[in-house]
Amino acid sequence: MSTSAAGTVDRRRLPRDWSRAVAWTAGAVILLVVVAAVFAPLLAPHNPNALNLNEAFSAPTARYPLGADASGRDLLSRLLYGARPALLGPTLAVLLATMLGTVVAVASAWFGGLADRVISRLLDLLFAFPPLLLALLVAATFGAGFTTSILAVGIAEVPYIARVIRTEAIRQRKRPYIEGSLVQGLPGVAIIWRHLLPNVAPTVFTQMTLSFGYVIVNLAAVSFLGLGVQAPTADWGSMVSEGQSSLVQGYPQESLYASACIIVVVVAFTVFGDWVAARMEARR
Amino acid sequence: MLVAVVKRLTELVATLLVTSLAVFSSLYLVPGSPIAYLTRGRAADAAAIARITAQYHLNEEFFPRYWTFLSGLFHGDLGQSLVYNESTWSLIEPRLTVTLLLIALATLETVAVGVALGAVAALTGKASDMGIVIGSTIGVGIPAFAASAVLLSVFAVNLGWFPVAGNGSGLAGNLDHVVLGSVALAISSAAYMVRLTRSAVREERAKEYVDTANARGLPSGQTVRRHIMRNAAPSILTAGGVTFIGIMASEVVVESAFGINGAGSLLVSSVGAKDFSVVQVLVLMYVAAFMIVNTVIDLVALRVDPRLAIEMATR
Repeated sequence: MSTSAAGTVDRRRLPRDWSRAVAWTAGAVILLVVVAAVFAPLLAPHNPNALNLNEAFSAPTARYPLGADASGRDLLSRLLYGARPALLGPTLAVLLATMLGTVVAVASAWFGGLADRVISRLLDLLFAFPPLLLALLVAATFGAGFTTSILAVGIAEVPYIARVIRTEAIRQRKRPYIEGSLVQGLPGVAIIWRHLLPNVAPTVFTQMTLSFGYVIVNLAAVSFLGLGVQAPTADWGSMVSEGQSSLVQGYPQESLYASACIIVVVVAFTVFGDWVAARMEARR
Repeated sequence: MLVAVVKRLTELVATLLVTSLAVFSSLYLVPGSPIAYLTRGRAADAAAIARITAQYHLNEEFFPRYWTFLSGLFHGDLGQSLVYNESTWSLIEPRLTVTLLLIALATLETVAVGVALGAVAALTGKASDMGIVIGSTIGVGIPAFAASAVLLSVFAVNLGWFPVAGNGSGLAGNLDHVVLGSVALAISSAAYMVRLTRSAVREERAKEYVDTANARGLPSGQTVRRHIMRNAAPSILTAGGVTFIGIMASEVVVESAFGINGAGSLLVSSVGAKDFSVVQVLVLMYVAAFMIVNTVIDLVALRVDPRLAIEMATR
């Protein structure tokens, strides 16, 4: 890897190791959240929805390690359970966006010409809809809820994913191995499936990690507006908004803890995504 | 140049038309009859149904209906709210000032902080670069509503420097109620702007003409202003356009977070109340505003860098 002569200090090594350490830390944070989400029932000291009005706004105690919310529900348990929609929602939305985006992008790159122009125009149009506005429109049309919010945010993410994949697919399309397969008489579908897609996969994967951070924010914002995950299910976005009335009364913990969870996870995914993207770029 | 301008404006009109069609037809994607949908959750007598039928021209074909909707928009007839017995425009109009103020202030902060810090990071030493990069990486991950919670708790509730909710009266009152929200809104977009500006300026700084200018003995301030920044400007402008989508969309959230009674919170409450005619008009307004701003940015970029005309005209 290192090309510097022995004895001289390789200046480039330091920041690279540093950025790797940061990326691994981000990866560890993500893993921690995954563990919290999967094992929430084992880790949570209380039922996240158990009310105890006598303990409303309880300060941190042995019984409630992070205190309780306005209805006396344990904040730690709600935060742990809140990791579930926080990861599940974006995972489903990103998968949806990736599937749609890849199909559209590969079709666009493969056929070119008019198909490419029409698809590109449609994607431009979708670009004009900020994800949150699309989610609002969809919620108004089909009703609010976890599923509709995932559909809306996932679809809004399609142009971002499709644009990157289209560029890469066009690059691959021009390569000799595709030409060779065509000359051999392989059907287009087979070439796409067995040769083009595997070569586009690294780009797809990179874009997925980058999209994840944005999608978390968008879904949490939809929940914050009360149009995503519905009460009483614990969800970080809804907790920020539910905690807001307590915050005004001088009990900011619910909003602040939930905000902190969202920020930490989003930053972790951004850092990790950037690192993956940089590595993929370097590999070329 | 003229070809590019005309082409860009035609594009704008075309996209606006298609968007209006998409937003308009979303009502008809709903399974079941539009009447049942429009009156969902509310008792409707025959007179109300007749009024809704007339309002949405439900007894007409799809395209004549769309045409009525569209020409209504052009004549300033934005339809009637189903929840408040008022015209949609009379609901939106008093709420616009505070919304526009919030967006304008946040955009100003974003551009000022984003471009300044981005340029500083790209042009100065390693330590400041690293500090700004770390700050912006974290900043990008701070959603407006999370920032709102923190800012509200610290500056409005604990320190009492800013009001907790409401619009205030008069421009000064509006401003007072909007400042904290604009900061919440600007944090992530400014951080994003920093990253984009930094990479645009770095890319220009590495080019050969910079070495030439240095070799010619041009003062570095002039190289930066007259050459690097000017060449980076189109990318920075385009980045600003992308950032603007984020600000416009998150503005809706910030209004709800700060209890500001503007167009954004009207949109959210109308979604909750299924006041579809208001939702349609507001979504269309937001998307149109965003598209128009993006077009203006493209045209300004064209003015700054006339070379873009070739690219735009042949696209």
